[in-house]
Amino acid sequence: MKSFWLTLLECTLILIIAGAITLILLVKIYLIITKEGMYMKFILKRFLWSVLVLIGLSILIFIIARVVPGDPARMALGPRASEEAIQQLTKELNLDKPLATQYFLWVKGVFKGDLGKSIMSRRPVLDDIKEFLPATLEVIFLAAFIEIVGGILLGTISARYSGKWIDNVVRIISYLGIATPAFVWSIILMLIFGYLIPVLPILGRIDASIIPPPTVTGFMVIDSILDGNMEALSNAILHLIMPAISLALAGLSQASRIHRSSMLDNFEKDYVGTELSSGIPMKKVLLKYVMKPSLISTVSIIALDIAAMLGNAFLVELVFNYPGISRYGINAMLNKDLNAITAIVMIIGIAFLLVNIIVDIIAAYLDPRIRLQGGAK
Amino acid sequence: MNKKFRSLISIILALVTIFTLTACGSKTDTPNDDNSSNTKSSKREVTDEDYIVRVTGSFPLYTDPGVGSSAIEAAAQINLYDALVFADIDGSIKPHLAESWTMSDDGMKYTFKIKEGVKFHSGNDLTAEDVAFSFNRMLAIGEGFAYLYMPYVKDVIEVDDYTVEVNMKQNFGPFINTLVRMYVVDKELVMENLEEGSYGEFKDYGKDYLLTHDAGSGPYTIQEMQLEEHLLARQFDGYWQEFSENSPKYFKILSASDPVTVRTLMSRRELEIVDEWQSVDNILELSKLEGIKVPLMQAGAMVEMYMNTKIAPTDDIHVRKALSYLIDYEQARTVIYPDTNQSVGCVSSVYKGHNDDVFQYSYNLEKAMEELKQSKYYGEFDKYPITCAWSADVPDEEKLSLMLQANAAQAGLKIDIAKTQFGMLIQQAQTVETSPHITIMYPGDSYNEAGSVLALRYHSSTTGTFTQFEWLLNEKVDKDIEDALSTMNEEERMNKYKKIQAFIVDLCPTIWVVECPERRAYQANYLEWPEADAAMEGKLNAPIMGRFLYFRTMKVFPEKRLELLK
Repeated sequence: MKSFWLTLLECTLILIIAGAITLILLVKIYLIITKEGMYMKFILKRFLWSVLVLIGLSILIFIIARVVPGDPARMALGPRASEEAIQQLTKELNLDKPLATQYFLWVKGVFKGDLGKSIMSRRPVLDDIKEFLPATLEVIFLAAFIEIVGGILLGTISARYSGKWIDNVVRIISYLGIATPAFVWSIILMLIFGYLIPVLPILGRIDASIIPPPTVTGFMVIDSILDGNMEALSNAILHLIMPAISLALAGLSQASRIHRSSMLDNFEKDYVGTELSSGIPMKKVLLKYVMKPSLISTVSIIALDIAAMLGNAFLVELVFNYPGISRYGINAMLNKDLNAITAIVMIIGIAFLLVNIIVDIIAAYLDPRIRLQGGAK
Repeated sequence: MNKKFRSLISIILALVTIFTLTACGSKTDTPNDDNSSNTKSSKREVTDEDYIVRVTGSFPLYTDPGVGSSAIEAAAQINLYDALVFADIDGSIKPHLAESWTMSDDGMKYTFKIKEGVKFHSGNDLTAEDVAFSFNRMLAIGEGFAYLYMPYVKDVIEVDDYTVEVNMKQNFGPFINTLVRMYVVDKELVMENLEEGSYGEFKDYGKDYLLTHDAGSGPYTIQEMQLEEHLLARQFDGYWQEFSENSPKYFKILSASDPVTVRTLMSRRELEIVDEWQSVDNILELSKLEGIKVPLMQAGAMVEMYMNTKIAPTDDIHVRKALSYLIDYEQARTVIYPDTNQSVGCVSSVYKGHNDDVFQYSYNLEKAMEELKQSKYYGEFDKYPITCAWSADVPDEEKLSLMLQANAAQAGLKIDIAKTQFGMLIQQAQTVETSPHITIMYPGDSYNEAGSVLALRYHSSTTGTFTQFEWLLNEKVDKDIEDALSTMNEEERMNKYKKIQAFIVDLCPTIWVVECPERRAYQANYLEWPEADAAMEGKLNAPIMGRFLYFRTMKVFPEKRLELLK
């Protein structure tokens, strides 16, 4: 067993080498971006801060998961496991070492692509993530599509016919969507399309009677296309419909309200009046000149909601027995599966940070002032 | 948006619509448990894949006999593997892989004759070498049901191809009964699939491989194992016992547990048997569906309220007795847990060696008050609020805790109710200080003798685990249990069990509420389930975890299922 100091020395050396390489790259990038202007500098600064945030998050979740009372080895092996078996698993999980040593060993593992072993699945956490993350992402992508298209569409219609009956109908639908949790929608959709009018499947990712495509990406839809298996493709899409709609409805409703307000705000601006009095058709004014600035706040909300779906999908996955990362994550927390908990929290953290950066890039595209000022103030 | 972009969006939407509308599955060699089979049922021929029984259960699920020990794992193991002995529906132990056995006069050596001609799923012959290997494997890994053997079994030796000798460290009276858990694994297959591990020359003992495969000789073999989703097994054609014409050709354990999902699956006839953890309300709703029956299957579980005997105020026996008097047992057995009986003592009546001649509490506020007056905390109960924890996975427990809270308030006791995730309960059980004052649990155990429950529930070796929140730590109880378990004469052993039960009832560490049968809604219209029939006739007496789901003796009639779907 290595001593704490030797491990610390190892990790320090690794960090120094990694830090030196990163510094060299950063200097090179800096030299490039000073030619590209302030906005690129802003994005890069955000990216670097994100790395620091992730490091902080990893330390925080690492400590929290381990200081919460309870012996994960005992929980994993059951009440009647022998002391030897419990000690063996404790050693495998490095739980017999000091907290700092455990963290450095974990970091070392991460650099090697080893996120540790899950005490629930009894296999590497990375294998679990490869299996479950694409499943949830597939639902999220469809949910995101529904949310973006539906939210913007309903918001635009609502703004265009503000005060009329269409606006009121959309308002009611939106409030229903916002007030109702995703899992309730899951149950309602299951009752309607799984029980009363049984046209959609209610379990899993694909019917048992259909040969699934070989796993390439882990996305059933993409793998089916790559395999040329149209039956699997259509069946996989059917399995996605209800979970995706359940997840999307709350965000869609919220986005439609925000987009409506934003559109109405921009519609009252002077330049719109000028354009209309110049003879530009209302449709063109709405879709070209009012839509673009209105999307900035809508995109921010939608993006954060999409990132939150990774964690919020748990109950939806439970209802539809969908083997996704969210359900896996909750089970990891309930069973004190330390390695899995850390990995899941890091994934959700990365998702939020990436989404924030993407939102900034989209906002800059939509509003040139942001680009020229070097980022939102 | 420009025209090109709009056109692109339109094309994408059209493609998605076309693909969605072309959804239909073709037959493959895997069972039909999907919606397409329902919509086409009126015209479809019955195939082998329709002979399937689907059950819900909790995941993750470890089918490895050296690892898994929960109820659903035991159910999977009994179908994938063969044990040395087999428990019949009436509770009697029959020879299985062990054709016969002898015991030395001092009870320290057992010699088993192993059945010849049994094949593993791999095609290998099952011999004494596999039996010895399986025993030693279980003892080395130390998980699963190893606790039954570790204190008692010294070594296991292969005498010849079909004879195994087990040498004991000490006498163990119930040893033969415990062999219902001694499943035999294919040594050759396991050794071919070793990964890096800590068991010396045996590396990981095949634990990695057996996560998703089996190495058994049982009536079924794993076809597909999705760790968080389902286990699908198919009939093993080379099995040494017969199947009937309508025996299930497949069984599937699904991880669905949500009540709405379960009800929808049952109504669509995509699920045959429901898990035992559904709430009573959900079971009652299921029983209203056409063709669904709900047998009450006594598995030896009781609804119990474990009282922490080491923290105030439940460390005072008078407080514990008062709490026992504050439970309305009549309401519990008729309303909260309908059609059940009040528990008698600390061991279920279905176990051999049960003592039905012990003191039984009833709801009595006056007696509760009398007991509280004798307590050292009398007059200061407001300083000692009592926490009653119930498992979030079992909604019926909340009703019981609310009932106790309301009744206790009349006696001047303040009870705080804590809905707790099962994982958190396991954590809380690990120390005296974190164990709640009262915890509601349903213990069950591994073999048909009162001693298995007594050892599990009240021996000091199980403190710190979720099987004992009481922290009884009583030397006399420990010695008596050890003595009883080492008694070879059955009648004498049963009598010792009875004395221990009477002693424990006097200590009152637990409120024994009702005997809790498993309520499993099932599709009686097209599934014949012998254990359910025996339960409904009052002849079921096999309190062995997982035993009820023995698929080989079930019969499924897919034509009747298709009729229901028309």
